[in-house]
Amino acid sequence: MSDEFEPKIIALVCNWCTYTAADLAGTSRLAYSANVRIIRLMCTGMIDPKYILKALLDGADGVFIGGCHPGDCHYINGNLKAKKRISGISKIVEQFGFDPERLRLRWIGASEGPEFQRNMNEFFESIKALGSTPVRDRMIL
Amino acid sequence: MGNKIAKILVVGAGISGIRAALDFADIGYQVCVVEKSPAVGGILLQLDRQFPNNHCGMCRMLPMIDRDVCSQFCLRRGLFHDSISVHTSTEVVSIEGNPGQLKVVLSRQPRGVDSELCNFCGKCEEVCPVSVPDTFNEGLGERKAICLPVPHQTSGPYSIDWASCTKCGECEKACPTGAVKLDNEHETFDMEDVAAVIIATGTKLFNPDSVDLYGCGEFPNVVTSTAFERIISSSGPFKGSLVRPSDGREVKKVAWLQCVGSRNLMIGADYCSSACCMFAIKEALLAREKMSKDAETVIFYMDMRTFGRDFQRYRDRAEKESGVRFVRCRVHSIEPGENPDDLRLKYVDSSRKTVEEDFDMIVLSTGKEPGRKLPDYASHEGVFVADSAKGLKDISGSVIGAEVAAGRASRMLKNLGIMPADKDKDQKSAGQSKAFEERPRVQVVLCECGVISDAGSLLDGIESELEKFPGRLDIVRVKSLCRKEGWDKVKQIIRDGSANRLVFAACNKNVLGPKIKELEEDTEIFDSIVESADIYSGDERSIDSLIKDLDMAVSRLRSRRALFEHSQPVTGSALVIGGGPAGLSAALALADHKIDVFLVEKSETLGGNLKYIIDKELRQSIEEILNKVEGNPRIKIHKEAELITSSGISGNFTSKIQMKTGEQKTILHGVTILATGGTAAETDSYSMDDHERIVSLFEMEKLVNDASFSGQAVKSIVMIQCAGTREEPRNYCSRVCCIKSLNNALKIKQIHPDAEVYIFYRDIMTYGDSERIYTEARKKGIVFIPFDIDTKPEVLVESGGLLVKGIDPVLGVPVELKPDWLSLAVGVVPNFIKDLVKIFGIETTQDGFIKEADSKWRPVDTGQEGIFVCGLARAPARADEAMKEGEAAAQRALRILSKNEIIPQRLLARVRHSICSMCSLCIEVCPFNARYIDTAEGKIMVDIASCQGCGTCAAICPNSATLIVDFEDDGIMNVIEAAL
Repeated sequence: MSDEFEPKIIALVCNWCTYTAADLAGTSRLAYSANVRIIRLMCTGMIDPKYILKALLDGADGVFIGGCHPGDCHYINGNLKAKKRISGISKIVEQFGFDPERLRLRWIGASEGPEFQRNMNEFFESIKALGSTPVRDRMIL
Repeated sequence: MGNKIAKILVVGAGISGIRAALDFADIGYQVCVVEKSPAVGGILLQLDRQFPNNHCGMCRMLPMIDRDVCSQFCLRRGLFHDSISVHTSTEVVSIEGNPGQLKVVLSRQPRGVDSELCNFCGKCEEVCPVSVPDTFNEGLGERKAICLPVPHQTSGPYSIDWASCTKCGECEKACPTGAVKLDNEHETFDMEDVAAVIIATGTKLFNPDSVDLYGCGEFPNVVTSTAFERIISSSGPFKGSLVRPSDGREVKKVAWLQCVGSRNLMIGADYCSSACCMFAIKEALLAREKMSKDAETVIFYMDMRTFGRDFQRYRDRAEKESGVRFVRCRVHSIEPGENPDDLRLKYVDSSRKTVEEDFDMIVLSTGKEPGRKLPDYASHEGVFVADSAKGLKDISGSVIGAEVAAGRASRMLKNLGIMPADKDKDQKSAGQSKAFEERPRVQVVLCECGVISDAGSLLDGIESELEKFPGRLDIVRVKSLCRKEGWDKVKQIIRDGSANRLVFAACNKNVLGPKIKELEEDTEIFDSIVESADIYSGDERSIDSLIKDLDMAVSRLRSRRALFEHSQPVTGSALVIGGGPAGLSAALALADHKIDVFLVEKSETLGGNLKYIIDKELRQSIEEILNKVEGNPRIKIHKEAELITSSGISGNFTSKIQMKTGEQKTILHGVTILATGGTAAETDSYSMDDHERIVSLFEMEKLVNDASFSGQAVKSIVMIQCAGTREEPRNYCSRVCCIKSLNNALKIKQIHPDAEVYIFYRDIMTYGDSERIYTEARKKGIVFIPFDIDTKPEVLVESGGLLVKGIDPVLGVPVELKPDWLSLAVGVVPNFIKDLVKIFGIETTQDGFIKEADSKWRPVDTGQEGIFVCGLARAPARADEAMKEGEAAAQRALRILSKNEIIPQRLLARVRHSICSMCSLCIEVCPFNARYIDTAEGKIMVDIASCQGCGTCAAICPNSATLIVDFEDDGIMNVIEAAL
C-alpha cells in the first residue's frame, strides 16, 4: 500500500435524489474514490446529529451529506430541516476538536450523476488537504 | 383459478399512464402498461425540473398508503409495482370485444437485449461501431446503436436502436452473458379478458424543421425547448453547462420564441398548446441560474398565458426579481448575425420601432403537433382516453385527466359487476414477516460470475475475510446469478436452508432487483430481508473495500426488527362539503362506486354557480349530474347545513354538522372532500359602482343572452379584461374571464352585427382549443387593444355617458370610446372558508384558495391524508374543469375507501411509549401531520395511513422514543461502524 493519505469518507445520502444520482454515477461509470462509503437513508431529515459524531469519532475523515434540492424533497421539507440541524451540529463538531470542514452538506438531484461525482471528488480533495482525522493521533476513545 | 383478478390495460407510460396505472393498482386491479418507446416516463424523462416551482418531485406520484408493493425510489428510474407489469417497445394493434372482456392485440419490437441476462456491463456499447445523434439528448451529442435508451433508467436493459443498427454482430460477440440477440422481428401477441383500456398516449411535439422560417436544423444554435432542457441537464450532452452547440462557447444571451407550431392558422394549428408559456419562463429561470449576472434572457410572446393559480406571480418574479425580459411580438424570421454562429432577430418593439438584436442561442417553444388524431380503437366501448392524449397538458392537468379516465373506467367496471381483488385478504404484509421475529441468520450468496475471469481468487479472499465476521454467517457460492440456472439454485438454498436474511455479493443491484421480486413470489421471503453488495462493477477494488460493503449489508440486515403496528380500520363513507359542480361530481363518482356519501351544502339549493351558468350544454351536463345526485339513495343530502367540528385520522373521521334549525348530526366518514367553491369577485377598479352601465362580465353574459337584448340599440361595447386581477393583491388569472368575454362579444356581434366591440386586454387566455374562439372573434372584427399594468385604460363618467380612454396599439395614439355598455372581467375569488380551514388544519394560499399537497403531482390532495380538494376551492377553474377535479378527488379518495383496513407498511415511525415524554416535538415537525395525541390513552400515536417513514420525528426526538423501522439508531450506528 502506498503511504499517500486516502481519506475515508462517509456519505449519508437521501434515498430519493442523491442516492439515485450516486447510482447514476455508478451506471455511467463516473469514477470517484473507492474510500467513499455510501449509506442510504430515507431522507436527510432523518439524520440524527449522533450519526455524524459517531462517524467522526469512529475515524471518518469526512462526512458528506447529500439531499434533494430544496423543494424536491419527497417528504416536503426534510432537506431543509437537515440544513438547519447540520449548521448547528457543525458548531458541536468543532467542540469535539474536528474542523467543521469535515462535514459537508450538498443538494444533488436524481439526474445529477456527474454532479455527484464532482462533489465526491471535491470533498475528497478538500479532506485530503485537511489531512487525517485527529481521532487517530490525538484522541483516545 | 376461480377468482380472476380483473386486468386493466394502460396504453402509454408517460405521467398520465403512470398515474392511471397506479390508480388502478391502488384500488386492487392488476394493470398492464404498454409503452411504444423503450423507457417509462414519457417526456418527463428529459426534463429535470418542472414549473411552477422549478423542482422535480415525480416520486410524489408513488403510492403513499400501500408503499410496500411499490418501489420506493426515484420514479424516473422506472416504475416497479407488484400489480403493474410494464411492456416497453410495445404498441396496440387492435381492440375488440365487449367491455370487461376486451381482446387486445399487441405488437412488440424486441429490444435486442435480454433483460434477464443483461448486467449493464456496457461492453456492447464499447464495441459498437455505429455512432448516431443521441435521440435522448434531442440529437445533441452522440450515442451508439446499442445503448441505454435513458441513462438514468434501470427498468430496462441496454437496447438496440434498429433504425441505425447494421447487425455487424460485434455486440453479440462482446456480450459476456449472451444477452444480445440480433433479431428484430416484431412479435404479435394477444391479451384476453382485459376489463378496460386507458389511452394515455400523450401528445407529440411539433417538429420545427418543417417550417423553414425558424432555421431549426439549419442553424445549430436554434434549438427546441426540449433540446434546451437537455443542454442544461446535468446528465445532458454538456454536463449541465449552458454552452452553444455550434462552438461550445458560454451562452450570454438567449431568446425564446413562443407559439412555434401553435396558434398558427397557416399550418392548421388553431389552438394554444397551454404549457409552453410556463415552460419557457421556467427554462429562462433555470438558464439564469447557470449564466453570469449580466447575461440576458428574453421571451418573445404574443400572449403570456399564465392561466394557472400561481403562474402570474411566477411570471412576475421572473420579470422583476430574476430579470427575464418579456417582449410582446411575434418574431417573423431568424437570420445569421455578424458572427455566423450568432443569430439575429428583427422585431417591432412596444414603442413600434424596428429592432435588430443578436443572440447566442434561440429556443423555439414548440407545442402540440397539429393534425394528430387518436387511433380508431380509442372510440371502442370500454376504452377511456386521458386528457393528455387529446391535447398538451401541464403536469397537474395530465394527472387530473388520468385520474378522471381511471375513475370513469372503474365506475363502468363496478356497474358491470367486475371487482378488483380483495386487497385485504390478498396483501402480504412485508412488515409482519416472521423472519423478523427470529434471531438473524444471515446467508451470504457469492456469485461466481462467469463474466470476470479471475473471480475465483477474489472470492477466496472475500470468503476468508467473511469467516472472521462475528456471529453466524453461512456462505455459499453460486455460479452466474444473472442466469436462470444460478437463480434456481438460490431458490433451492433458501428452501433447504434455515437462513432468514440474505446478502448477495454480485454485480449491479439493478440486475438483481427484479430477480429478488421474483424470489419473493416463489419463496415467500420479503425483499426487506435481502441486501446486496456490488463486488464486480466499476474499477477494480481492494478486498478490504469490498468486505466493508458486505459488512454494511450484513449490519443492515441484522438490525432489522419486527413491526408491531396494527392495522387501522376504515370507515367506508365520504363527506363532501359543497354542492356545486365539483362537489356534485365527486359525490356521484363515489356513489357510483357504491360508497355512501354525505353531501353538505350551506345554501338551500344544490348546484352552486349553476344558477349563473348560461351556456346550454354546460347547464345540461351539470343538471344531469344534479338530478342523478338527488335521485341516488347512497347520497344523503344535507342542505342549509354547516360543518362545525371534525376530528380523527385518515380513514376514520368523526364530524358534526349543524342544520339551520339548530339540530346537530354526527357523521362518521373515511374521507373528506372539500368543494367549497368560489364566486365572482368584486372590484372597485374602473369606476365600477359609478354607472349602471358598467357591469361585470357575468352580468354582461346575462344581458346578451336575454331576449330583450336584440331590441336594445347597441352601437358600441367595451370590455376590459383583468379588472382588479393579475395584480396584487389578487395576482392570479381567473381562467374563466377571457373565454366568457369573447363569447359575450361574439354573441353581441351575432345579435347586432354592426355594433363595435372593443376588448382591452393584457393577455388573452384562450388556452387549449378555446383559442378557436379568439380566432373567430378577430375574424368577426372585434377590436383587441392590449395594455400593460402601467397603461391601463381610463374610464370616466361624463354627462351621464361612459368614456373609455386608451392607446391605439398600431398607431400609438390615444383613442376615446363612448360605449353603450362597459363590461369588466372581474374574475373569481374562493368562498370564505376560514372556519373550515381551522377545523381541518389545512393550508390556504394568500388568496384564500386551499393549498394542495403538491400543485403538480398531487393536485387534489391536501397536506392532510384523507382530505381532498377540488374545483374553485383549490384554484380558478371553468365549471367543466371543476367537475373533472371532483371526479379526480373521488378517485384519490377511493384509495382509502376501497380498503377495509389500512395495513401497516414496512417503513413506518414507531413510538416507544415507555420512554416517550410527550414533549410533542414530533407532532410539530411531522410534514404529513401523521402524529396525534390519543387523549384517552395519554399517548402519542402515529397515523399509519399518513406516516411515510421519513424519520424527521426520530431525528428530533430528544430521548429516542421514536424510531423508524429499518432505520433504527443502533442499526445505522452499526452500519457506520462497519463502513469505517
